[in-house]
Amino acid sequence: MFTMTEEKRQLSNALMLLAEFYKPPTNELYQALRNGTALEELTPFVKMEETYEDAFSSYENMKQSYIHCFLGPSEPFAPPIESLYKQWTDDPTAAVSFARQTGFFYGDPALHVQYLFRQFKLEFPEEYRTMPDHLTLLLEFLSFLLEHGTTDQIHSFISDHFDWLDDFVKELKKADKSLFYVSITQIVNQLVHSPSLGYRSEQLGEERSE
Amino acid sequence: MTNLSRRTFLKASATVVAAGSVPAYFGFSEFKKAATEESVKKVPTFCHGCTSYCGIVAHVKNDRVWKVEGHPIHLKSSGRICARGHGMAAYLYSKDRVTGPMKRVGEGKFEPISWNQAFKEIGEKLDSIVKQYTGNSVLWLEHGTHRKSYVDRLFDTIGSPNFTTQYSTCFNAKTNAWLQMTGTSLNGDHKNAKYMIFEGRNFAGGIIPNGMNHITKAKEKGAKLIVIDPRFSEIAKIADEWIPIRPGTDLAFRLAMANVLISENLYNKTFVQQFVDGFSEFKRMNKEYTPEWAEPITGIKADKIREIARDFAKYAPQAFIEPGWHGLHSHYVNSTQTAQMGIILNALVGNFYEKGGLMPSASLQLGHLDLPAIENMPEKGARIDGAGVTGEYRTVEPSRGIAHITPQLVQQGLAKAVFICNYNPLRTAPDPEEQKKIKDADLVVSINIDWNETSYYAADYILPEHYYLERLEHPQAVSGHISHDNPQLALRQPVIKPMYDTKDTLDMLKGIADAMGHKDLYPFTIEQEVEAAIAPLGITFEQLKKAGTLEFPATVKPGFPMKKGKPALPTLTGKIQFSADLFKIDGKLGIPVWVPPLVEPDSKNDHEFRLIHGKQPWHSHAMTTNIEQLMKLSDKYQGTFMWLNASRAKKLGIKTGDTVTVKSKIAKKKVQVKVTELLHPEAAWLPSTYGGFSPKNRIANGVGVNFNDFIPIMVDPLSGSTMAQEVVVTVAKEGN
Repeated sequence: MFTMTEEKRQLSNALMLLAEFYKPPTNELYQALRNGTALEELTPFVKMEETYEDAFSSYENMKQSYIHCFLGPSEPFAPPIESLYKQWTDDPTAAVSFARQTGFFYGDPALHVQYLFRQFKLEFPEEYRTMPDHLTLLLEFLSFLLEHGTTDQIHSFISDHFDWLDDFVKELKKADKSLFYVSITQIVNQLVHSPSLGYRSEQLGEERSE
Repeated sequence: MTNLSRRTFLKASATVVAAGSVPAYFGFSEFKKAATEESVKKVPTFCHGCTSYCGIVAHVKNDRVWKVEGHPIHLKSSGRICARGHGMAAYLYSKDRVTGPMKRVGEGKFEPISWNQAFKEIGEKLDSIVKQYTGNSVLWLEHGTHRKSYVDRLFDTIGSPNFTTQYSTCFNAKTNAWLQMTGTSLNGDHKNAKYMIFEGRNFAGGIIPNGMNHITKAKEKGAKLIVIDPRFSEIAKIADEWIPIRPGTDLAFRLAMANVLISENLYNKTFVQQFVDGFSEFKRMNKEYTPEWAEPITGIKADKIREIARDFAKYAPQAFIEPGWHGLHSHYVNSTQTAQMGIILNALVGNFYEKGGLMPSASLQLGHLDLPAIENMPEKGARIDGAGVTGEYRTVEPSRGIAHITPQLVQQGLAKAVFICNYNPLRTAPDPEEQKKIKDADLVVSINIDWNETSYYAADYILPEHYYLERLEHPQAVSGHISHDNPQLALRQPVIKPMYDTKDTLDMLKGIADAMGHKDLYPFTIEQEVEAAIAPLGITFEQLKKAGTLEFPATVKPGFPMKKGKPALPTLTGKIQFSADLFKIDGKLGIPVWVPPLVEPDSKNDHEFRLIHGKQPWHSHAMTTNIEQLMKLSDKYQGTFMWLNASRAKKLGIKTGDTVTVKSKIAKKKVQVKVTELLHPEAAWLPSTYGGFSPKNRIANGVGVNFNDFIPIMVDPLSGSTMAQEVVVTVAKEGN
């Protein structure tokens, strides 16, 4: 049995691990997949049915798959960015033609996440400046909240910024031939909506108040 | 358990705000509510939806573009913008933009690379090409000339004369004729006109918002508008008369108009005597072109030609034939002569430099940076496209070049490195399958914002430029299309910070030049360039940034340019030259005479049509077709349909909505048809917009067909244009 602190640490680690998959792949990550250890850290929280050793034939193949799925030199692709899957803005004063449509960068979610990062004095790389709502950053921030936030904040953040993953998976399925990234996203979806971050979060909160 | 290392992107700055410090708007709903209360900032700049470059004011809220509207004083917009202007703003946040430098790794396969890698690889490759084949093997293709001063420094350094615009696909015949015959370029003074002939010209399709405003104002004051076009174009809707001329015969119509003006002594003798050179020869050679001669050629009754010529003379000098743009001026083998006749007709009625006639655009003398001279400049050879070269295309303007023959230059081994900037020849030049061969050059670099066909099929590298709402440019003296007395200066400036990992073209050239070993070739910034440009004007950068467009006291007055009592146009004689010296080739007099179109549909074959094309008001050729909002308009208005005349369609059993097969010598495509009375029976009309075939452009890909699909690469012998309507197609209902 994990202690609560240990569970928190591991949960935070698990979120950080998942965040790794939405960054450009490293050879280390590929090797860990190949030898079946990449997802070990998730096992306390998610029932793993696969270990994905054969997801990619080579590191190059994994890189190409990442580029293909998320970066868009080919079509279709599905960037892991929240704004793209939500109405661009709810502000009724917006008079640009796409204001009520989905599929555009730097929507309301990006503004909000950017605001939260600023409030918590968190910095992120320049290349993500217009996409602070990238899934890798959302997962990192959730991990950060586990350590520094409150239960309400965790709940609120999940509820506000992890409600687009089903739509993302739908689009990703069109792009992800290996279905690896689809699987990882389903794991993310499962984890952020699991008792580890939900039902048992009150206990985490209690611990925090100690 | 193995612990994989983590690349933490989200890093705490000096102090992490810990639990208990709750941001005011942690919840998304509260935040959104608060965000609506933020103030709106207005940033003036100008549009990039077409080459009108209308002044706009972008509203910015929460660092996002919130609204765009027309700049109140800009000559082209005057407070209004068109659908394209709104649509273009949407693309700012589109996921279809190229988000960083890309390198081709296979057919249709690219990988993101860093700018440093891009510069290093392109610079090394270019250097090796220059060393092996000389700088003359390097070609720069650009939509216009915006970046020419930057390219010139690199091309002067490597010895390339091959800066080429896309104008051979657009309007070369017009600018060539005006240059040779007048040395200048004038615009219609629509606002003050009493009689306007728009022949192959459509301000309401290729929208110029303030141009339309001027025309409607003139009409309110009683001006007459005559539209001569095989198609009932958008501007025909407000015309007093629409004359559906037989396509390809505008030259005959104009020759006959001149004949009426001269034979009925309606021309302005004083003006002609004082300001025209070559009238007598013209008069002699024009004698045979009577309205009766023109009637069977043009399909316009001789009496109607007389009526128009007489009215034209009656209202002159507050009357003009629109000098035109794309329509007529890259369409036929006789386009240059047609453009010449436009000048001649206007001159015959003496409307040059007259209010309500043709007037100049007020211009500004801008300053420039005093840059260090380039040392050891290699000698440049002749242009590889032959523009301006004796024995090749001697009469074609070398400053514009012949863009659409680039694949041939590549195949001939003349073009080894091709840079293509803000231009998409694979979609907007004739014969896309041929244009694809540009990819065979040793180095192809596409500097475009999106995954257009050229980038996707031909580029080795794609270098994405900042979007027009993200970049600062050298200020632009506003001119073109509409005459105006007061010079204007407009600034394109960033409305928001760049969304993606993009750059200015200047920075790209700096990077490439550096990698080639030409350090400090560009020892300046765009800001410094702007400062130098405005220095003579007595304004500050801050003033210009704040205003976006500044208007200066009037500099234009009516009256023919004179010097020491003599006409002073920049021509050999100082006069309007009815005989263009440069066109006196092959024993010709340089005076326009009848030249029939190269091809004719067979009148006995019900399936044959001349394929013609035109702009739609909500699209700008192919550059806006991946914008969802604008393509919705295409859906709404059956925008992708090919128009056919009702009587001809009936013979073929074709109804609106039917799919037909259109076939030329080089292509066979399917398209839906709109059957209408509003088109000349010999013509099949296609919008110039559709037929996208880049798989990366998910909105545009596979929608409709394009006129360029059907036309082979041809070169107008005088002006180098595409002759894009010298094509006969057969049309058959699907299944027949």
